[in-house]
Amino acid sequence: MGYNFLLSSGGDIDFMIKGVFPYQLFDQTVWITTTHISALIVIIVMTILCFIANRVMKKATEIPGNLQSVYEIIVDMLDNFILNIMGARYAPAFRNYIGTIFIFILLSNTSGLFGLRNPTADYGTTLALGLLTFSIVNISELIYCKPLGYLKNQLKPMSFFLPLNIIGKLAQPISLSLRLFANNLSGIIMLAMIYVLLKPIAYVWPAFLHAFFDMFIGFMQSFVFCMLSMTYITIAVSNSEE
Amino acid sequence: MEFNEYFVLGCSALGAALAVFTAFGPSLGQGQAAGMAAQAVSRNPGAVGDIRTTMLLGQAFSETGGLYGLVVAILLLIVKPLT
Repeated sequence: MGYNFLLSSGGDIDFMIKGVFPYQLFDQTVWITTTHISALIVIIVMTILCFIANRVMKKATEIPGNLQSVYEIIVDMLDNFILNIMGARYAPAFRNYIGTIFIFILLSNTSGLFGLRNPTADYGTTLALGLLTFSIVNISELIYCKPLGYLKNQLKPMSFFLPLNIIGKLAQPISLSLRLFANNLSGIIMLAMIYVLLKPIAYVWPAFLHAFFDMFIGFMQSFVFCMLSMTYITIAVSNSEE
Repeated sequence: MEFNEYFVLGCSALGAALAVFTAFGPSLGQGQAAGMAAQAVSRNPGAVGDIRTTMLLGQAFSETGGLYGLVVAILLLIVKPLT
């Protein structure tokens, strides 16, 4: 892999995905990469937070304590966010999915602060997330509109719009995943450039850039990803109302 | 003139620079969207939440073109499909 346009300054920090160890699967060599490891760390952190939430909520009190009020604020915020966009009719069915994916993307994006390489800066992760949303959109449209209604929806508003509708459906996961991927990768490349090219003076002040790229852009992108997922789902599902 | 590997590499660097230039359009559009949102808030301060959501959605959509340019530039520089 070539990244020699950065090597001219003699730095040793780079932003590429590295393989950690290979293993054999059906006669193919598959690599465990840094993306897998940081995604695993994010998942473990999420699981630990869930266990803490479970234990706190089991002995919930009328007047919430510190931890309990933090969890209640988070859940309340997510519920309101989803309710505002999807409406009271569809919000209860989809808030588990949207909330989970929001927390996962948010933790992945901010994991750059803790020295990990963002799992979402790998096209594999974001494509998986995009395909997840794509299948949720189509399956819920199938369930809510019945198979015949699903086929009829593809012929809206006129029958010769069918190819356009199919292209529009296929473009959804691609644009969702590429948006998330490119935003995170641009942040990583920007920081790698600063650490390599400005190595002698890169002390303390890159922290503000970390705050911008990892926290602000990360929060924004997870927000946007969830909002677009909800918009797609609502548009697909609300065809059943007529 | 000799068309060797370095010539192709230099040309793909130029191509990457041109591809990143696609950020020109989306940033103009995003600025306009933010300005319009500010006007809307000053007209109707009660609807701040709705205006913010709509603005962010529109900006996220219009950003896509610039990001495709960024992806093309990164592919040209790192994966180097042409050399």
